[in-house]
Amino acid sequence: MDLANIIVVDNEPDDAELTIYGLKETNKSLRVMYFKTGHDALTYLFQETSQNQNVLSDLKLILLDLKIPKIDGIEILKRIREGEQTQNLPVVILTSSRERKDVLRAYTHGANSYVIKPVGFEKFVKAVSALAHYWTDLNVSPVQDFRANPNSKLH
Amino acid sequence: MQVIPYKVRSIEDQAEKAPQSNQDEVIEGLRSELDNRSKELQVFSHAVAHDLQATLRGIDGYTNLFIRKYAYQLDDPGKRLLTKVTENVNKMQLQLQELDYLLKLGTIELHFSEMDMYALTTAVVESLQLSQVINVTVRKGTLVQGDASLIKEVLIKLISNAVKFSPEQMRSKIEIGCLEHGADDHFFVRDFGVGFDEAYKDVVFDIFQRLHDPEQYPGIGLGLATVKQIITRHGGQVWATGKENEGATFYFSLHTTTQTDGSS
Repeated sequence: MDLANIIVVDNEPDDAELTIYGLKETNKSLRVMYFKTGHDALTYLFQETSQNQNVLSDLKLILLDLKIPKIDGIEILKRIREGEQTQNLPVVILTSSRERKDVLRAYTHGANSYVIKPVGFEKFVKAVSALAHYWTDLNVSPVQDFRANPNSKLH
Repeated sequence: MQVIPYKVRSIEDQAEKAPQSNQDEVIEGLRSELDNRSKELQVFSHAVAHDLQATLRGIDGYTNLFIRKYAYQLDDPGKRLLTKVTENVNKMQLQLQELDYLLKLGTIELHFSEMDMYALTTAVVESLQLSQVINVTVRKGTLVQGDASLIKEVLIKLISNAVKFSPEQMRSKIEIGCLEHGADDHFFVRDFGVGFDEAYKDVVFDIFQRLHDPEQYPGIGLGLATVKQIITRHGGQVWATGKENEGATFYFSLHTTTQTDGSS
């Protein structure tokens, strides 16, 4: 099974499709997995982890919307940060919300970054491509490093 | 600096007019009604900010994807039609952002302090790089009570409009002044530009009210509505006078005394 490099969690399929388009603008070989609900995303992250310890090893980024019904983005983030295997996963909030309280809540609960979805297509694609480039090309994922050699020091 | 809770002043004004025995009840009733209205506005504001913008993003996104993949099959008129779609999406996005801000202005807390309107006005004029152009006749030491960042916004919008609607050779006649009027000061921004038909003076501050050709004078149509909302929150008033092709004067009033915040 091909493991995901990036997970997109967004209850709007149209937004998700445009996000995935933008991600693949940077790198067509990126493996992007999309979940419409918090339940499905958490099931993948946690249940898969118990069956296959390497399911997170290729995962470099979670793009998380906030306004998701039932289990919202902040709750998903909290559960990710509570998991022993998932607590260091890079999570970027990708949302339409400009509310200051949402920004504060996201960072309080451990988001690595907060990005407001531009409405215009060109700006949206640029923003998402930049995220993909930074988190998959430039950034060293702490999970990946841990999996490779738990006792190694980061250089 | 004093924080004035949302609409407290106008509640207290209404309570003052009620019979003494009923005042507490009136205040409580009005507060409850305002809380409900506030919640309704927040729901609406969220819909404007989030849900409608998501739909717009979908329209723009799929239109652009279509252009990217199939533009080679379209002739120029066809491409132009799709470009018009994205232009309108961008316009609507700006309208929604401004509308969302206008809605929020109705409920945000004001941070009052004493302001020197001469200093504030000259600072705004300087920030707009119009010091060599515009005449500030507000007297030094004209003090008012208000939220400085919001009053600054009022000045920016009115001055920008005066410049926009004045031919270049008339911009040096733009004046920002003040008429002292007892407990209030009446500030004005006067220009000698395109003006407007005074028959519309009662609607000129309404949302999306455009009295001039938007192609010639681009804008969203919410600037004056925003000015009105800010000044109303300060307990002041706005009004305008004008004459077509001769210019316009936009007025706003602010309280000069500390009685506005309930303290002596």
